[in-house]
Amino acid sequence: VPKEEVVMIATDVSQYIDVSALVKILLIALVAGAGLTAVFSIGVAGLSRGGFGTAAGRGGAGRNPAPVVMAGVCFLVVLAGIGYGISVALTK
Amino acid sequence: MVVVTGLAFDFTNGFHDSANAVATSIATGALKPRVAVAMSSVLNLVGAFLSLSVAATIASGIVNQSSVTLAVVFAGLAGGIAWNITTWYLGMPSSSSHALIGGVVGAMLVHAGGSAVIWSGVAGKVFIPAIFAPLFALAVAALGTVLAYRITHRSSDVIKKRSFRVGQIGSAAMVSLAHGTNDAQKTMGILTLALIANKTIAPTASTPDWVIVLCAVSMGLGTYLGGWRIIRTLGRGLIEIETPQGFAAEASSAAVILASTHFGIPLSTTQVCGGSVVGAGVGRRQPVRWSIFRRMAFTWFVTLPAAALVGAGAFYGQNGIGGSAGVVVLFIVLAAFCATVFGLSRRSAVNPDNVNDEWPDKKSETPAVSVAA
Repeated sequence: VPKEEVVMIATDVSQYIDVSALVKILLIALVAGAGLTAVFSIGVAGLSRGGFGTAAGRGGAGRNPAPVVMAGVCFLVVLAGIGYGISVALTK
Repeated sequence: MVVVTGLAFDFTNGFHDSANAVATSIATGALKPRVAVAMSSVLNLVGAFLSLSVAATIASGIVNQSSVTLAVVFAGLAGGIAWNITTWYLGMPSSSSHALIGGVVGAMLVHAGGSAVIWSGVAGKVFIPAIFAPLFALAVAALGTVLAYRITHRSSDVIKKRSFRVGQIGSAAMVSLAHGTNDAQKTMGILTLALIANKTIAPTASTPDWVIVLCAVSMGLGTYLGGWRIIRTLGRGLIEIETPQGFAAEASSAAVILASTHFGIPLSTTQVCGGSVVGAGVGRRQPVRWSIFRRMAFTWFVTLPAAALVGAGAFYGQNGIGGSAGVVVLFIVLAAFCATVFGLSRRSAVNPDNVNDEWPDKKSETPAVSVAA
């Protein structure tokens, strides 16, 4: 997993700033910030395709389970990413 | 008295930094203003307890610890407070960390000369992050916004709005937590420094719990009572923000801050959040009020030197009068200055009820609304 690799290298750098630390911060921030936003969005799109928020989907009729399950997985991935991110960010 | 002043600084810090954390959630309506601020305060506290690596860096890496006296800390805090409150009046989110570091550095220069300041620390811990943090945040938020809009392009608006609102509660919480792990610790670091200078605690001691709690509480109060001006600029001033953008911006801020915390690099939440919001605007190819951003960026650049100047002046005056009389005089001058600015601010008060009003698109100098309090 590339993200893990980045984090592993990242633990070696502390206290002072150098270019490699900055690059790693940018990479981590891109993966965590933009990446998780994208995953969340896929989840939202899944909910929409599953019939949530449409007239047809109200009350359960016209709902499509597959995208909704996918959405659930996406949201779980986001939660897991946040948890992992916090734990990594705080261990030195 | 130094502790009281330190808490007063945290109070003004609450105007700026913790306000940023929740600004976009309030602007998009994901959270009610008061709920948002309360949540932010609690999570700040949690974040501060989770990680103290940044507090340690600040306390040790910027000035020579053995030269620190209570008078230096006091004058430095005075410089930081004066600058914070001035920028707050103007509705400009400026970095309280830079204000604080500037104030302490300024006071230190007068007290012990240039050799007592660790310039490499100032460069590495303040200037370099100050340039990169907003740019990183901007890039990440822009990418996140592009992706969010692309992916949900054909989704129903109802579900989009609802989901991203829920998401924003989570992302705002993350920013607050991240702020607690990074930015909020600077005052704690300075107070620790003061306690060490006062020989209350040993030089090797870590930040006492009561310092953490008091700092977090006064910061929360500051946000609650005065953060609205900054929330308004950031939430409504820069761009007209939608929920997916708010989510992307907050995710970006949280990621940048947490990643930096991991490296023990203190950065300004204010600058990160400002960068993220602009990035969210750029990502949607939306008009950004660049004039406001330019003013914000200008504020960021002058914060450190300006606070240093005030800190140096404060130390000079305090030293000139001498002894505890000097401290008391400085305290009174500072209090009078704050009271004056507060008085002025009442003319254009921003509060939970008007924080989200339409942004007036005229060339007004202060981003204030015409509602008198």
